[in-house]
Amino acid sequence: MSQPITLQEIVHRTSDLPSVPAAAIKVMRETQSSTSSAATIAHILSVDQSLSARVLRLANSAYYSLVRKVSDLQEAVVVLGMRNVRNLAVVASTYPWMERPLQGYSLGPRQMWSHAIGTALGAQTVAAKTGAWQQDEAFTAGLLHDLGKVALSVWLDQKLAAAVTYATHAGLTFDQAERKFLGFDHCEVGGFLARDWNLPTDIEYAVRYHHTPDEAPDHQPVVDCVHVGNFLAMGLGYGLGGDGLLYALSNGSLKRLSLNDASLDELSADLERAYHEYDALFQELAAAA
Amino acid sequence: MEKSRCGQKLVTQPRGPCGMVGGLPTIQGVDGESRDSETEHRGKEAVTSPELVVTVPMGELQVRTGRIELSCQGLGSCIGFFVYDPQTGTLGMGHFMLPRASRDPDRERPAKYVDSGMEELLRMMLDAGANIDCLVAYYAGGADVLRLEGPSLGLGDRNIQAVKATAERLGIKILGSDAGGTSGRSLSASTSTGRVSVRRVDGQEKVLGELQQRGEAAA
Repeated sequence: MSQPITLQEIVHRTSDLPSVPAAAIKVMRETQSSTSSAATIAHILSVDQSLSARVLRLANSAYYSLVRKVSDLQEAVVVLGMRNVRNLAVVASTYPWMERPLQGYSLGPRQMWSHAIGTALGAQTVAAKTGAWQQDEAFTAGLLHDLGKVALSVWLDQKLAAAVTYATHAGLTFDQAERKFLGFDHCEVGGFLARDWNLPTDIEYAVRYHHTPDEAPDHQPVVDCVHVGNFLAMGLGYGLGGDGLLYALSNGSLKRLSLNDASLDELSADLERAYHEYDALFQELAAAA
Repeated sequence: MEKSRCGQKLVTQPRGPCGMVGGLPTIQGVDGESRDSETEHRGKEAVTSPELVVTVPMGELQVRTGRIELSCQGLGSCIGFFVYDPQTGTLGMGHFMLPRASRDPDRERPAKYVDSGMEELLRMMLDAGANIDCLVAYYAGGADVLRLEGPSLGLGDRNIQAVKATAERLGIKILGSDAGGTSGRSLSASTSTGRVSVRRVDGQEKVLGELQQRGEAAA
């Protein structure tokens, strides 16, 4: 009898795994430090010239409507704030692999990206309304929440329809079906990758528990923001794959965030506006890619 | 002898804004944000392409005549609503997000909501020459995540209820739908194929109905 595959094997045997540049991870950590400054953020990013160029291009995009173009990283940090620049670094780092199709989940070109940005803006919108977490950190956690799908996609290839059918008939969510079919769900794989990459723990926990927020042992408010942000993005149809909306909404998250159906409708409307505005940045990203 | 109901002979046929019944495609869109296969269009203007494919973005409406395919892509809890007048060949589609305008009235974008969006779509259809007695409709979407606890209805279910209630209030006959559940969907209506169909993300396609041709309606 063959041994069940381990999570490490899934990750290590998956070719073409994505990565986040070391400079972007260092910036994520630095912005959480009490000693961070425009100079330190600019210094960290400047080590990666390709990333620096993309961040500057995004900073000068129509989205920010700057009166005067910024010409160097330190100026960008001063004008936009270090948290905005940190998010630009993560967005610029992840777009190249998030725009690719993920056949295992029936996601076409740019659909994974659409869902990631929808969830990032959704989590940020929830954080802004509830005050539960730093908005920019909720954004970053939302952007990376489905990291595990990139690694798991190839393993799910040809099994998606069976997994959806099985889940529907058995009354399971899709993450439960993933565990049944593959031994792991995309949250577990994503959490493993986040830890392997040494991402900040709040992001690791949001990735790991975004479908099971009640089980999060720490950083639960940001997990809740991403869980609800993900729900909003799915409802608005941003980058829906073959797994569709086959996930459960946690009443625990709604209670902890003091949200009800009326406030969820308002948040949906807010997210749609935010997503619409982000189009300018999308155009810039597509041009820079 | 003129009769008011569809499928029966009419002495005179309602005419579209170009003075034609069918013929070249005519465009009316909210915000004009449409993505066509060949050309981007804004406002109300005639287009000569015989095979336009128009995607209706979230919170917007399109009303057209002529050879065309209208579609709503990536429907989650949102509703794609298609309305058609077989007499004049006028087609309309809306991509609605939320059930009721009263909760978050965005007066500049009535098509965000099922109730005000359907009212605006009806107005645009009538302006384009459609006959209110002839309108038939199809819709898709209204999916939801699973709610394991609590009695409240999800957004998808509330959107579906709003479609049914508003269609009844406005007197629009709904002939078919593929709504609810947990699947993402796309809705399309094509005068080339003569079909209103729904495609799920997993590739399954379901034909909701056939577009009754003008000649057939009048026969």
